Amino acid sequence: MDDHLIQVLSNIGMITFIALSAYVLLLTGEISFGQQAFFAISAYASGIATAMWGWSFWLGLLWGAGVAGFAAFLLAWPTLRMRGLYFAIGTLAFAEMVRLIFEVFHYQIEIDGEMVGPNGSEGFRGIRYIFENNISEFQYMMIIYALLASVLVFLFAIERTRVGAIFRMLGEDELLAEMQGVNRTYYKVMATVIAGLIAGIGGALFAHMNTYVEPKIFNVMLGVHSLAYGLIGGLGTALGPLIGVSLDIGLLESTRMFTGYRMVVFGGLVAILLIFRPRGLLDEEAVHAIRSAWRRKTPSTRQQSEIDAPD
Amino acid sequence: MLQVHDLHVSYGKARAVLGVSLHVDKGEIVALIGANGAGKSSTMRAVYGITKPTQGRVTFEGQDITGLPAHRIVPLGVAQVPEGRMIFEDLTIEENLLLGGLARRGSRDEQPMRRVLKLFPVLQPRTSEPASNLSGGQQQMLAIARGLMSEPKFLMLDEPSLGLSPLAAQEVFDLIVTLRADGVTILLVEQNVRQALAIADRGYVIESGRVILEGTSEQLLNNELLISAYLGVKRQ
Repeated sequence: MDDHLIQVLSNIGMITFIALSAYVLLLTGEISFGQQAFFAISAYASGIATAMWGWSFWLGLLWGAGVAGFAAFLLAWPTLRMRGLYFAIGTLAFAEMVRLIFEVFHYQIEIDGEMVGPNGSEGFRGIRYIFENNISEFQYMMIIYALLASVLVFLFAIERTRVGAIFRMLGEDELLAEMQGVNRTYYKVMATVIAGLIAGIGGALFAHMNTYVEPKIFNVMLGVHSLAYGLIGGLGTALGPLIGVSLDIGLLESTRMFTGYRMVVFGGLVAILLIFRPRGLLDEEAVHAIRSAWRRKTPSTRQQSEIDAPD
Repeated sequence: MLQVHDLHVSYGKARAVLGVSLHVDKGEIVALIGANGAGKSSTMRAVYGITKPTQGRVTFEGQDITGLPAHRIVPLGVAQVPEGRMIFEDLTIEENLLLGGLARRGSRDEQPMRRVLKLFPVLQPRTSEPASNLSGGQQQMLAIARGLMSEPKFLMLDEPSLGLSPLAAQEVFDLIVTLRADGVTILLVEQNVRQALAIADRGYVIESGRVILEGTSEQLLNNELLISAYLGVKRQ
């Protein structure tokens, strides 16, 4: 594989994490403009762990995702009472707050005669674990995709259980869901924390691939894009966000064709999709059609029993 | 089975319910009737834990459930079918039904689904269609069916005939009678006074947040006040 392709694929993989994070909240009916905050928190936390405290990569990744998940847990409480636009504004404000804190966050120690650590708006250099441990770009890409596959499997599993159904129920109508006996607080907090953890995994991967992070990377545009990916790809399954990211980064950012016009084309694409497929390429209906076509091919015992069972 | 004592509900300064007391005994159909804005729905919502009452006491089978959130009340065997055929339109009929049972049972047990579908033959062949394909009357049926998925002992129906054709409304009322025969106790909020009282054992008339009349359906149907206010002309 050539280096450019590896880089593009790695980028797609990492950004998919933050798109999935926004997707989980979209399922529960909330639009978050702030998932980049958890991406950022984990990027910094995991970078500090490996570059400054000498932790291993995996421990650093766990720590980063954990801190992001905890931050999400804390954010869940004040935003619990917000809906729609107010939730969007609340999460946006939180993310900007986090970014501005990193702008003035100084925490450096001397390692081998060099100052290492976050240095405010100068950024955080020297997250070199991957290079110091001779992990090739290809190997790192495989790590990204292995983790992405795990997260996707986790989300598929959730969709098949009552938790997934309850998320969608809350997304359609919170009050009605409560009337069915859903503990709204519990599931909303759960969704927020899952979203935080997923964004956190992506953030840690991002920091270690780039070796360098600075606050302005985690600006609002990252949040807006991560939302758009889910909407383009479709909210029917967790594959939607991956499709969205692949379209944008794979097709637009990484091919020379659209150099300079990426945002124009991207904006046009979003507009066209909103007209023709308002719930994305792989929306619930498409997923449903695919599933029932699949079932017709291989009639499951369950469906049979529903039709034939004598009462 | 259900006891409501001196219930008050306020939305900010607006006081919707001003001391409603009522009771529903096991096996009864009780109708709560009154005009728009009388406080019927607010009473229901307060019983169900969607709105917190400002004063009063609600007990279900002797247990105090005043102000408990809905997700703690549903497991006790109470279900509410909300006003206005609220269904999850983007989901299929089957999914809507499963969701009604999910919150309580935690499993995708097929038993209740089969039993419920038997009660609703119109839904049976269409389970994989989106719920939005159904007609108004069928959507109301689906909303009731979903309420039954948690296998409640006590069912609260908020204006089930609202916006339905007379024929569809009649079907809904017939169904309610069937449910009672199956052992479900029912509290019914209705504006359709004549039809509600035709199937109910007892009724309460609510006006401006207070119970102004109560009695058996027969007593109410013959009450001068009720006739002049709600029925218009007395039928012979």
